Amino acid sequence: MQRIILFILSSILFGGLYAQNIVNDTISVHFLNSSMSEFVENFEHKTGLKFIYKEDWLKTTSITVNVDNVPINEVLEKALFRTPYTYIFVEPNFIILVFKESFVNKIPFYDGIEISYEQAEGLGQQDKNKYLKGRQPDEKIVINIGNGVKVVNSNKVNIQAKIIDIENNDPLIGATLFIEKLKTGAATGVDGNLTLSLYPGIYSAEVSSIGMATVKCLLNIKSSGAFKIEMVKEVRSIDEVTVNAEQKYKIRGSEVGLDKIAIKSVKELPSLMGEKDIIKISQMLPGVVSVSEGSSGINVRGGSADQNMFYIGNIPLYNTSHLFGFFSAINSTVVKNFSIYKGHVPAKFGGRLSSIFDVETRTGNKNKFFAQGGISPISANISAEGPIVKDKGTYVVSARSSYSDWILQRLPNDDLRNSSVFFYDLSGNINYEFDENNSLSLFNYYSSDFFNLNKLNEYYYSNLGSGLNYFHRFTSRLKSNVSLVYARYNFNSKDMNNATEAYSHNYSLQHTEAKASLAWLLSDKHSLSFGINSILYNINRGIIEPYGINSKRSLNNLGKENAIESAMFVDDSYEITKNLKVYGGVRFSVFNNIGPSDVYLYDENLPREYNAITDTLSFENGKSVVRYSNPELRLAFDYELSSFNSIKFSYNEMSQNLFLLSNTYSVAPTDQWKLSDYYIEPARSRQISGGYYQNIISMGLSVSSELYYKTSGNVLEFKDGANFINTKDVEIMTLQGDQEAYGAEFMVAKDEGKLNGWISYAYSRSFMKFKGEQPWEEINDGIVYPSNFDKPHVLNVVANYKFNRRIILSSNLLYSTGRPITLPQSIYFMNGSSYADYSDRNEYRIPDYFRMDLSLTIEGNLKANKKLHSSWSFNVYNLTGRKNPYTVYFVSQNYGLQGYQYSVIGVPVITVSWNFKLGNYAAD
Amino acid sequence: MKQKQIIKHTVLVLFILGTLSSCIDVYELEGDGYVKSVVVDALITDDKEEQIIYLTHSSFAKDPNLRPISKADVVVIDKGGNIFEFNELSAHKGAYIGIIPFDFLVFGNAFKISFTTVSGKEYESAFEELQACPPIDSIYYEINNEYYPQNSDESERGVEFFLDVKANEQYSRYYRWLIEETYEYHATWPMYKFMAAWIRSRIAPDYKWFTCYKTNKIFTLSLASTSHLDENVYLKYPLLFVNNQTQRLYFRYSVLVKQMSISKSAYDYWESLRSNNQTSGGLFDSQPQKTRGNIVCLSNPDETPLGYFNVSSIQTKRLSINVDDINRELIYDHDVWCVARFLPPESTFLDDLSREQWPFYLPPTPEDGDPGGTYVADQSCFDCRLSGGILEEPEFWKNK
Repeated sequence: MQRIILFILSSILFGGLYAQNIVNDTISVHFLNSSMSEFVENFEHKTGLKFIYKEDWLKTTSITVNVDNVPINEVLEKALFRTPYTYIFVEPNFIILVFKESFVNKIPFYDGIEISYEQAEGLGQQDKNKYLKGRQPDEKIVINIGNGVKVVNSNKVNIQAKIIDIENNDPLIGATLFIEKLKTGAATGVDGNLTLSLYPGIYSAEVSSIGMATVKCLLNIKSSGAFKIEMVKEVRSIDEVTVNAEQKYKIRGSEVGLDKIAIKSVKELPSLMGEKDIIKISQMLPGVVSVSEGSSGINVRGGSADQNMFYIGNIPLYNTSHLFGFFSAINSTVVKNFSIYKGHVPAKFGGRLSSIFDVETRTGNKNKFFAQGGISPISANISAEGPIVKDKGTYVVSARSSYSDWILQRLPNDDLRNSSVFFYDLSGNINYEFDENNSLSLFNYYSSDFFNLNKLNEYYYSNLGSGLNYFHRFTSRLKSNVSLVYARYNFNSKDMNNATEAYSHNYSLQHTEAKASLAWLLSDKHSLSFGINSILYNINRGIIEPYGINSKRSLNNLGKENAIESAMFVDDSYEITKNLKVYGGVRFSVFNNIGPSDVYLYDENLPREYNAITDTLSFENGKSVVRYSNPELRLAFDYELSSFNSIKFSYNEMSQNLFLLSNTYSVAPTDQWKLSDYYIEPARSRQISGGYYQNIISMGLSVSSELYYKTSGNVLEFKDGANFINTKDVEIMTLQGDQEAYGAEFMVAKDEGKLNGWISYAYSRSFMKFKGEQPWEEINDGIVYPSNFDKPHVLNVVANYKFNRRIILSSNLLYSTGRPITLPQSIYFMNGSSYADYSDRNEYRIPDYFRMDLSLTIEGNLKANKKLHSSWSFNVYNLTGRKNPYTVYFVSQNYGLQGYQYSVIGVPVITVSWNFKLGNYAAD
Repeated sequence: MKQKQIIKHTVLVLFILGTLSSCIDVYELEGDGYVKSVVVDALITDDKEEQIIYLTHSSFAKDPNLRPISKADVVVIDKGGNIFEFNELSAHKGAYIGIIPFDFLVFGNAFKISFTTVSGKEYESAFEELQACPPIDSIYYEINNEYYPQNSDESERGVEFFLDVKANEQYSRYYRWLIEETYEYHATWPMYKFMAAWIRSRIAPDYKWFTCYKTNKIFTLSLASTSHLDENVYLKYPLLFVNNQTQRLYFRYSVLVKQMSISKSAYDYWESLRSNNQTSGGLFDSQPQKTRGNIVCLSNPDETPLGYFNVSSIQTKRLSINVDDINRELIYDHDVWCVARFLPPESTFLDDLSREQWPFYLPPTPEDGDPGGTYVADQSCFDCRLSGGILEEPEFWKNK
């Protein structure tokens, strides 16, 4: 036990030493060769003073003192006379024991360098070691900020800290600097910088970041200045650090409905077949559900699957699934952390109604080569990273590929033997830092899936993306980012079930984007960022072509569409009082659908069908077909009740010009993205949300609760029986309607200690309404119905138990109300056969969902010096073997209708996976 | 077809996952949302003058039964305003018979149904046109394996029948087929040993109930459209699969196809029924939908009658195959349906037979059986009629 920590130094250096009063009280003590601990115990008991010391010191020390009615300070002096220690009194009742020599010897050691504001700006690598040389656990670094001139007045000054990972010089995002005395602090932004405004003086500060060892330091602030804090990875207690960072972040950030997860903190969670999957993990958070197990697409706060934007790096991902959604296309080894914006969304993001998934990718190790990889029953992955130019340029490359095809070849079933399944993904990240103020990064991503079922159905799809980002700092207060992004999603499907109708279909979507933003820190209370971006969409919906010599299929060209969507945004954050922070953002986007295009006009008194066409509007190449502008307002308030609890409110408007044409329950690999056009208007949503956040420090818990109410309009839905392969004109087979969602989300997280994890519960509802003026403009007769993903009660429990550093047991527990379903309500007979008359849409529910998973991770030995570290992970998916219905369906039988429920994974699935990395346990 | 398809997708994925963990259980339907609706089951065709229309009510989903609507006033009206009266069959409640003379069953004429129930509610359909139907080009078969959806290791072998349509542009591009199968099957043993009133008798082997013929309707909805094809041609439409688990393919099997040329709205109706009733409800399926036909309730526009008033001309074609035409491997070389069971001496089974059960036929003693013991078998092993067939050889059987 170490009882001597910060106090010593703060006391020595910064006074508070001799304000004695208790120590002047008199006391009588009688000790003869007593042990130090005996002396301390007795003395503490008599005087009410508290001794702070390192126990090891006192083992061999003996005390002899025999006095009556002598002031305490004299007694102590006498008692310690023959020992190597002396004492310091600190108000109100602390006696700190220190080495007598330490006054002289230790002070210079801790002395930081003094730099001026200007010097700080250009602080380079060569200065780094002065901060950190000889740094040892439990010792504080002292950081002098500003020039050495005596402080002239007591105005607040700005200090800026850049917090980086010592290993690769990556900026640490979301790292916090917290000043205990003032109960204030700040968190770093995307560039790893944070700014605080403080009166000159000396402060004890704590810097923490997810997965990093907490740095304790003293800030000796003389004037404005900048400094850098380097953090090392925490080996022994990752979770502890995670907590601190997260807790403070929760209180600090002014964002309602933001979930931020470091991949490290979830790497031990159980997963299907040992494939870590951040999209599945996101479903353990409140407000995020999916239609069913193994389905691709997620639903955030009652929104459809196409209302989520996924960014990996800067690249938008238009299909996030591998293998029909059983796994995600985001390889978890490239993920550093990910954020989900589901309530308040900063104005720099837009384009989707429900959420923004922002996956931040790893950057390479700056100092040395590093590699890691793993094998699961499904796939193998490997990634390598290292410096390109020492201290300037780094790279990371990673690859993952399935290798399970050989299993199929060995099965006794011809259908499966004739089938094949394959997926892989690749990514590469290059970062180059010209100097402190200029850096460039390039991220590339590719994923691909191939699926052939008995040579009857074939699906192929791929995501390709490339993002170039240039960062420039003008001054410490003004920074800029310029990015160029290209993304392409394409699929090819072949249907060969019937030779006459066999067809193939190629689809492609290209997204080309340029964006520029400036972040400007007006004062420590006021920050402003603004920017513009412009996206060019080129969609080729493809041609339905006959496939094979026997196919009679007519060519059906679904057409091309082009559009430019440009947006301007301003994010303004202002701290009105110490406790109240207000955020205001505006995003204004203009969407322009551009020809060539032929638009049919329909007789308004008839259902939109080809026979109702009255005229055709032709738009030439480059001519604007239709233009929509969408102003969006984003507001947030953050009121800190104390440093442990806060309340937040937000009002958020979003719009969306891109829709996924899907007439199935779940996102399928043949679903097409479609732009707003002459008929299809942009969807818009509004959300009001509020939350209460509380940290219970003594228990290491953070508790949050959020409420939201969201309405969306112009949500696109298929009419009954719509077929998007045969009909080119989407307005004929779709309707636009309203969505309404509300809910209450609760979460208790414990990130500390041997047992950590979280419990989340959400009560939420989600409804759809398609009411039109004519019966054919309605779905479900215009009556409100629950959406396919309306699951009122969702309870998730995630628990990790760390037996020791080598053995970790993790468990997931998921419960949710069964999804809504349309069931037969009566049976009727025609020509001897029975048919079902179905209920109103989604009037019933399938049985509730419950699942429990376990995983046991066993790390190899923890020797510090070894070349390769490996770990084994044992996973049990669906431990209880509950047969959760994936779907309920009905088959017409000779007399009546037989219902069946189909469970995808109705037994426990046990898998083993193996992971390795170069270096020891702590390497990363 | 589609159901199997979807489940195969998932089964495939699970195989890749290295496990076969999926399972299908019976789902018990709760029947609390029952709505009693009027159902019209009518098909007016041009192949005979006599037409039958069935009127029923829908029944509880949990307990399906036929609930005829009796004593309704039913008429069919054509485009020219001619009214054809239909009268309820006394032997068959809810079935209404009427005559539409061939003079009116001509292409281009259109018909609608109009009826009033006892309670005075009036119903009517839209006009449906009698369209010319192209002849069926050909029906043919292939020997195939079909896998059980639930257990992919086991497959069943059998014969799959296909159909080709080759029509020109003068015909509708929407087709529906009604399929009927007829097959010959045999009892296992002739009658030669029997118990009758405590007397065990023996006669010369009697084969009079040995060979039967059975005709069944195939309930699978078969329909196709060529609207998305270049020509009004559809090749190799899969009609049905006949497995080798029954005697169907052992002697002679015959399939009769009635081709109907239908309107787009009729096609949309039947297609919607097909996708509602014959899909798996899988995640890549579309939602089941309320299917509305062409019937409206005039007395209460909010009421939604079920069913469809179909009008169609019909072309038929038959294909018969003999066991010699198909691969003999398909046929089991031993009898698998009837087993002679040993009757313990103390059993009173035979004594307890009622008078109506005499004579009770007995199988031959198995080769490795007890020569003095009594063996019994299901009576359908001697009398093929008990399995539902008839003794009369169908007309089309005669010229093999």
